[in-house]
Amino acid sequence: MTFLAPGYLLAALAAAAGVVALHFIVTRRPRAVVLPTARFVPEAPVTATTRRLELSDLLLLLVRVLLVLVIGAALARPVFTPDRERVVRVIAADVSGSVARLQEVRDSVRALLRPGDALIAFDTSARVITSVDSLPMSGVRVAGSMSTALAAALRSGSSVRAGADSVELVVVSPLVPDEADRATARLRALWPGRARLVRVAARVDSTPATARVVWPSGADAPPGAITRAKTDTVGAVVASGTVAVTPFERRWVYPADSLRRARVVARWADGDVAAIERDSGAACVRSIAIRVDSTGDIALRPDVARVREALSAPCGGARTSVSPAHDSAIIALVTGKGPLARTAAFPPLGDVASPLARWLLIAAIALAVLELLLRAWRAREVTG
Amino acid sequence: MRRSPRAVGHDEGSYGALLDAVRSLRWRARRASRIAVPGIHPSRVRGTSAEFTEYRAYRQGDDLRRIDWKLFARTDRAHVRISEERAVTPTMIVLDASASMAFPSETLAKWALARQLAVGLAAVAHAGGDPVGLTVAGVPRAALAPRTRRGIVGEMIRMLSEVAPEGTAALAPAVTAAVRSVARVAIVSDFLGDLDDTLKAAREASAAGRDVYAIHVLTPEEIEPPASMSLVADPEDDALRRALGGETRAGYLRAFGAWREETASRWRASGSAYREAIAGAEDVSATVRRIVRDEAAAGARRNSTVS
Repeated sequence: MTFLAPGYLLAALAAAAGVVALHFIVTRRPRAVVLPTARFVPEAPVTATTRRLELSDLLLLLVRVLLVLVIGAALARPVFTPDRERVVRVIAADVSGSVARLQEVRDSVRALLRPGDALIAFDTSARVITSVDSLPMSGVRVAGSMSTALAAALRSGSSVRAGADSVELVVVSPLVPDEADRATARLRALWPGRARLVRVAARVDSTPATARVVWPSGADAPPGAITRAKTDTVGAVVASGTVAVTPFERRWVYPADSLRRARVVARWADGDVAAIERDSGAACVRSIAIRVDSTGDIALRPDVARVREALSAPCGGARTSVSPAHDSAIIALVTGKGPLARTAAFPPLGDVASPLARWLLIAAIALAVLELLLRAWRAREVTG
Repeated sequence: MRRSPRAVGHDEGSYGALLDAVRSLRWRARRASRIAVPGIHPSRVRGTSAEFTEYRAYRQGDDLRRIDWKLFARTDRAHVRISEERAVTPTMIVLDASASMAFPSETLAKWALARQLAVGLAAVAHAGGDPVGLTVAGVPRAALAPRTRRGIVGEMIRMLSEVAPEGTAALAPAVTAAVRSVARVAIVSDFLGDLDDTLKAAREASAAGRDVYAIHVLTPEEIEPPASMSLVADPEDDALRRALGGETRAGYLRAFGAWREETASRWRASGSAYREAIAGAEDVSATVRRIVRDEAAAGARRNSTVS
């Protein structure tokens, strides 16, 4: 067992020591009882120190100390930690359109996966799955995103850090150049150790699918978009690594329903979705919510032209590689050098739930009630 | 005229056993009464009733019809027959209802004993044909003038049921007011209030020929406080708090015991009859019997002396 916030436990230990000290130090003032003949009692100091320790006192002290410790333990959020292994794996399995046969990916993962390992399936997005059988057998037609896989792997490293000393990143992917982008190198640098590449066969496409690009026409919303309640202006749009900085009139928005089973191909400067792409049979349909006037000089600007070109690319979009696309360079980028990553290098997850904490709080409430009852019983014993 | 305790009314309720037990008791005056109304008590007035007590030598002015001629024939000397007259003794019960009487707070045993003693003594006096009244010190609404009517004891019971002991009312004014119109006063109290003033009033009443009875009500907790009492407070003085334990407990027992003896001595020196009544020590009827019979016997012995 370990504590997510051990500082609270240390504070509780200090508080318990204080409770013990106060229990013995504080002078108790007995309750005055009416006696009509009290005037005949000789005058003497009202308070007196007694050294006698009664059983009820010890029981009350024990309950108070337990109460403080249980509250401290609950706030410290204990979690059970599994037996530690020497090495645990984070396996990133490519299930994107880059893979020739997904069964090959599944077989490779099955051979690698052990109890305690984390499994991530990635294409254009990444998700943690619990078993090999959950790997999809059919996926998107476009290439996966290594950046997305690395980001998910970093988070998984934090979740498995409690179970092992080292973490091995295993990437099961054809690792085609299109899967790397500008962020891949930076994200790879965040993984504090070497990785292993299990290469599977890549899909070979003779001709990239042509995208049917639907630009907005007049006041009609593009496919999948709805008119905004209030038209506003935004200063830039980003598409496939290209940026156009100019005031754009923003009239439409893509609701959540439209974004399901769609890929985002362009975003406004504030992060809102500006264009999406959906598979349509062998090709795809690209809906653009960016209105560029054909009149005026905005359309002639080079940055706007690059964005239009990026949005007119074949299905899967256009990606810019880190350096001149070279197979060995990508492999070297992903695998890296040096020892395996130490689990201590991964930050602990801040949102881990502690089921024990809830039971400890219930126990604290029960102890508080018991302390009240004991105190009342002790008071009755004193007054007779 | 004698009254049966059965005629006292229907409210005696919980006092039923006490009233039954004291039904046959008679409370004779300690001193000969100066009142000539016929009753059960010895009177200072010598009369010519049938109850012969003594002979006296004939003096000039005596009624010739009182000369015992048979004795004259035997002795050749003229003697007159003397007999005792009987009189009533109006009685007032003065009850202390100060806060010190409400002890212990859980049972109010002291107040219960005081009430029962007051009712018991009143019932005995009433049964003997004496006018009896009751006054609660410091409670003007709780006062019944001495009466011989049926139900007077029941009225006392009902009145006492509405009185709760509280406050610090003085006892002496009630005693002074009571002795003005009665021949006998019974004071039921713990005497923790204005004892000096009360003794002064009793002394004056006794000197004026009144019978004064002091019934000192106590509880076992006052005589021997339990060990659980470690800090005690006076109910009539908020500022008085004392620690009770070890040496102070021994000091308390000495001081309280000495005070009890001194109080008894002072009451007796004032000419009053003094009795202690301890809650729970004996049946209330036995205490009432002790009060009326012992003093009645002492009174009879005094009155039997030929003047």
